[in-house]
Amino acid sequence: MVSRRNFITITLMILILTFMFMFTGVIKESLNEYDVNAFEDTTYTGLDSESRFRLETASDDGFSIPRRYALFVGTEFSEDVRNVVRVWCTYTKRGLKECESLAAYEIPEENLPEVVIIDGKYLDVANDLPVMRELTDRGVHLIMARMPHITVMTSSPDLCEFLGIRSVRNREILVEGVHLFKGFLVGGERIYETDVDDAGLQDLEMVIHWYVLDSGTKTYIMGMLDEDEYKNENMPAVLWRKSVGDARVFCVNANYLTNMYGIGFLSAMMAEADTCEIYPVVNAQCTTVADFSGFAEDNTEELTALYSAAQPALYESVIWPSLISITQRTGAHMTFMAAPQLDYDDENEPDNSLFPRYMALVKEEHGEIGASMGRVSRTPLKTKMLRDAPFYVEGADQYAILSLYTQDLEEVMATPWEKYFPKLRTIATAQDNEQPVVDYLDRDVTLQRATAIGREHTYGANLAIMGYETGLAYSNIVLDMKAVSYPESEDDYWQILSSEISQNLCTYWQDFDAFSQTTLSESDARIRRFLALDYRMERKGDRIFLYTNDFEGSVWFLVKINAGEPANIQGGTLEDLGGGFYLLEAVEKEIVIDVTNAPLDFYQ
Amino acid sequence: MSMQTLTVLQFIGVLAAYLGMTVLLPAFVFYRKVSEERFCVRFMIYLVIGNVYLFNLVLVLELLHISNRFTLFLGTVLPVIWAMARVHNVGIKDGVLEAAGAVNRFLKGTMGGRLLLSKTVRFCGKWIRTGFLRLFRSIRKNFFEWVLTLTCIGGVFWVYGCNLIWNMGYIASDMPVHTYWINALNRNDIFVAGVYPHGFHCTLYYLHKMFGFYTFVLMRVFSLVQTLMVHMVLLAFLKACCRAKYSPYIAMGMYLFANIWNKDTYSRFSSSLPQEFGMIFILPSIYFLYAFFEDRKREGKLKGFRIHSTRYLLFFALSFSATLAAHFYNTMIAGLFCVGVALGFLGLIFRREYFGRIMLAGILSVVLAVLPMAIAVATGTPLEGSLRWGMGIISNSSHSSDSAASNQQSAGSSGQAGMEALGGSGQSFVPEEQVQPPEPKIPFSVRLKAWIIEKKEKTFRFLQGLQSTIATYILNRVSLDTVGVVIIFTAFSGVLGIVFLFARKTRQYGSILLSVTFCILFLYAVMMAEWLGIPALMDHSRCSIYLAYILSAAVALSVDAWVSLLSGWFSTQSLSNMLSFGGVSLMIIVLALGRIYKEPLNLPGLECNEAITCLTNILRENPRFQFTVCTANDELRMVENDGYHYEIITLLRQMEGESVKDYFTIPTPKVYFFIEKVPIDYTETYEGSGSRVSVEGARKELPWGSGLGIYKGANRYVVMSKMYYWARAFQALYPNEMRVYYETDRFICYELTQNTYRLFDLSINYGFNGTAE
Repeated sequence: MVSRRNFITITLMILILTFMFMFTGVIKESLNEYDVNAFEDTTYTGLDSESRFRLETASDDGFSIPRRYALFVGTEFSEDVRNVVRVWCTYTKRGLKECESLAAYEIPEENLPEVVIIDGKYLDVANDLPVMRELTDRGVHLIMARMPHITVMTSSPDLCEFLGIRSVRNREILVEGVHLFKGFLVGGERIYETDVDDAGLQDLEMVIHWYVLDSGTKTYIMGMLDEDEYKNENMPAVLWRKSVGDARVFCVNANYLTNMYGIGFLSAMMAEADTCEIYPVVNAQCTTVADFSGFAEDNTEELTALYSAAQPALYESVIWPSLISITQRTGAHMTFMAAPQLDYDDENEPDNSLFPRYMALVKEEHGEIGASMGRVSRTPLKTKMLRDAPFYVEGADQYAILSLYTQDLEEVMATPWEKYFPKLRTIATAQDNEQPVVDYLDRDVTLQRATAIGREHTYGANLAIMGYETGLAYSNIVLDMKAVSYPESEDDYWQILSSEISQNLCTYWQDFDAFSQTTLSESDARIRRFLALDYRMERKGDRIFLYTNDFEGSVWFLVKINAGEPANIQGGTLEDLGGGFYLLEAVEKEIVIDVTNAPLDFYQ
Repeated sequence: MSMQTLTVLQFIGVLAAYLGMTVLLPAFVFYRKVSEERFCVRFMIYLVIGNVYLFNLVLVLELLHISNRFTLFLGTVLPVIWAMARVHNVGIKDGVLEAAGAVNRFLKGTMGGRLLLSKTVRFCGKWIRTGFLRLFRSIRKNFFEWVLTLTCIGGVFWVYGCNLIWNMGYIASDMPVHTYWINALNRNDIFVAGVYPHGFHCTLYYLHKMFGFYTFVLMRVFSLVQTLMVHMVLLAFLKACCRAKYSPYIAMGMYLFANIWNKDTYSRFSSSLPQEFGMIFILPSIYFLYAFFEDRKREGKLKGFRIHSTRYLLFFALSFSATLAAHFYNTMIAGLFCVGVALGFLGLIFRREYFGRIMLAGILSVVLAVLPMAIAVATGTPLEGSLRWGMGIISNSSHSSDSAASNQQSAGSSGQAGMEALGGSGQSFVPEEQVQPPEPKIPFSVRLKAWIIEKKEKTFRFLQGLQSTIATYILNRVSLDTVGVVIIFTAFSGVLGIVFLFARKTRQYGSILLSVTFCILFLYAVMMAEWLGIPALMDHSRCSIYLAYILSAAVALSVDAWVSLLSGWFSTQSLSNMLSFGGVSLMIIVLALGRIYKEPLNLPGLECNEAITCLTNILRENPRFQFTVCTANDELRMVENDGYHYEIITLLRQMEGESVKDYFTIPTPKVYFFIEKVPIDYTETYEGSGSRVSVEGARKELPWGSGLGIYKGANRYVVMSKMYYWARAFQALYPNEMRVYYETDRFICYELTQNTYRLFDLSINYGFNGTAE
């Protein structure tokens, strides 16, 4: 028999324990507004395309230091390089002047360009070389965005000497790989060597002109040949620079600057050219889960045969745990782009009661829900939006959809999306290495283009990531879930796909851990500030001064210091990224970085 | 941290390691066996045992090619355990079982961590408490002795230590070669340049390997450690020999503080060199002979080797072998001293109880030191150059000066100067025509008179020559008047030695005085070898080092003898102590009032301080063998164990004339270039010494040839000028990669960071490439 006293004690203990365990859950439930998109308020900046920096209207107002500017020399056939240079100048807030040939360019007495970027394909050696010499003599850096034709090179020893080429060893050589050396791009060293067991990885330019370099040059990217047969110094150079007085002449013996990730290469070259370089970056690492369609029973027959579960159950019990596992390993703030249903021709309507459940789960993982425009049926986008509207209204009336994913940007822009997504701020879209990564689509909506596809990772893709990370500290990895719901091959099976995604995300972004993980709304706010930002920098002895225009919150810069190491900083914080790169978070308009040049750290 | 502070800390570390291994560890093991000895004698015993053990441990491991930190550790610890077990009469098995039991109890949990800790603390505390109590008691009892001893130690630091801080580079030109030999021990190559006395190198290698000191740091700071030991051994020897308490300090004051000595007699103490290291063992070997005679006399007719006096012969054998293991010059001096001892103890040495044992000990000591070298020679390793030279001197004195000049740079110049200073006292005083053939018809008395006159004149001239030699090589110009005093004091010790021989009670003391006198006379003879027509065992400058050292001891013993003689009439020890203390006080007053005290030694290094600063930082910052130091010369051996070295001259030659077109790389991620903006005078000056590097210098033709000549005199100025402008031109091409690592008015060091997959071509046109020969 239990005595009364013991009975009361046991009861009290049970009550206390029940209260203690229940209390946290109850409080969490009541304090968290799962049905509200918290990013709606926290990421609002009030900035729109009117406040962005434009090349055309750039002025020096508010700054005592004149704006740096670049000169692009290229013909009408240099459109791809021109695009890259334009975008790079926009992002780095440089002015841009253009001309068709150097011979036609009159070098100003004052306010010289900081750098002259030349599309070497259309170089007129006889007329342009003297101007190039004059420019370098006056301390202007040159970038040969593409090398002149090999016959031009072989017939012009003066040009070769000017570009730091000792000899043209072979017109073309098939290299075994490409070696990107440490310290040039953010992320460090890469060896893109062709693997005979996995030839699909190699998609870089493997046939290059074989230039052997002269003394006074520094190589950043090198073609790889058999080490037993050739000395390193004789291996074909891909990207190098030569010093001519205070000027640097960079040469790119590949097509890197015809791709948009070339902005990173341009920034890296400028960072190498001087003792220090500062340029603004977005600092956002996004992971976009596109076509997240765990709400309707699409393609039930095939999915049941494969996974013994219909689509909602597959997402809830198989896909979601895998994604959360990746999130926890990478620290990613995923943006789940909900696709209420993919097939609008079947009779299976989405279950909107699942939406609140995902809202809670996503919020607890610091993620966000957006809308996806993907579908498998031939339903017009407008119809899709119309049919999805009740789902969002009934499932999550208060949840503001701030982001949207589409593969076809033009199609979305042609629809009245404002009607269905009135609070939309940003649109993510598929990768396109010829278009700007971040931009405004209209007055209020920003564009965030994918920089990588989660399931694939070739050498070219890796180099592109490094270029984007160096140029913008930005990446947007898209995981397209449509293939899971409608598999076309065994590679689309989730057990294979999840393994590849996990492997890629957990491996190739490790070098960029220092950058912030963000949802699309968070990165939207950073992009708006980045696009609106203007700045000037100067180095006086051991101090670097950075002046910016007005901004709220924080803006980020990449800092490369070649001579010395940062000691003290006022107006922000610095984080070491390795290879001489630092991530600067500026919180004030004026930032001062003290550089120490005392290598003797220990004994003096 | 400043380099000065670091140097002091390095010195403290090296001193602690050396004393720990050669004094404290033997003391820990053998204290019980020698506890009845006086402290000064124990000190010498420990020092000899410790050093000889280190020599032979390293030697054996090196000959077996298994020398490394692990084997050295085992070779240190296991014999200590074995010896401890023998000394304390504990079976090793019992000790191991007891220790294993303790570990077992601890692992089982039957002995808790706190109990183990408290036991350990109690055990150590007991030792420390006992040690401190003894020290405190000793200080209370011998306060003035402690004060004077500490003053002597302080004096060594002051006179010889300041140079360590002021001039951090190597002082002697042969230090790099010794560094090379020590470094070779890392590769288990003990006779890398031929057979050579290995003791000094083994000791430094042991400290390097076991305690992690860089060899160049050891070479820099060990000089002070060995100099301290040389002085402490002198003090201990005199403490053991003198009858008055404070007489030894007269020698210390005279040798250490008095500015009466020629600089050459002590300037080599600023460098870590085998010869000076070997001086540590000369006086202990002599003392152990004295102790043997005394002890054996007490033992009377006891037979066999298991008697007390044998230990002294053993210690004698060890220390005598140590002199040979360190440097054969020390053996020569110790040998001469031994002959002096033989003459001093003439009455005893040929007795049956003494002679055989001493001979056996002598043979044993020589065999102990010579055997490894003999084995090496027998197995085909040639003698090292200087050893051949040394043997050549002994066998043929006429070639000695030439060989000395060619082999030992530091000795050459002073030796030559000394000969010139001697003037007519050498060969010109022994012309054959002066010796008149005796007239057969002249009566014997007349002939005798003529012979006496002739000998008198010859003796007089000899004394004049001796005076001149002492004035030239031993004493400095300021104290030439004291030459006579020095000779008189030498004579005093001999005269008083004879006086003390008469009393049975003081016969041992008298023999000691006589032996010291004979030793001094022999050293005088070595100095005057050419005059006397006997083989010169060593050149004057080297001999003067030993003579000054032993002369100080002789003077102290003379004073002690006087004090003993005077106080002996009253038979009170306290009176003799008072008199000797008075002597010390008088000496201090004379030194102070006469302002004849020594200033700290300040000898310019063969490398500027900035180079050492950079090198220290480079070694600290970089992983092993990930850097190259491109310098003139001395750093080659300094970085040998940890990095690569490239000579400036080789670099410059790679881009002379047409060679500039060739690719030239140095394949390490970091390359450091040491450039003297004001080139130092490397062992020789030139017209324009102290000039800064200049365009004029860079325009001159690059010196051709090999060896150190390229970095001497004006050649160094040309090489450094070219190197300076090359570095500037290269920095213009690679401003971000080639940065100034360290710069002062006199020196600049550049650091080149490069990608090892794509090395920079260092061969550039810097404007002064010259033309190819």
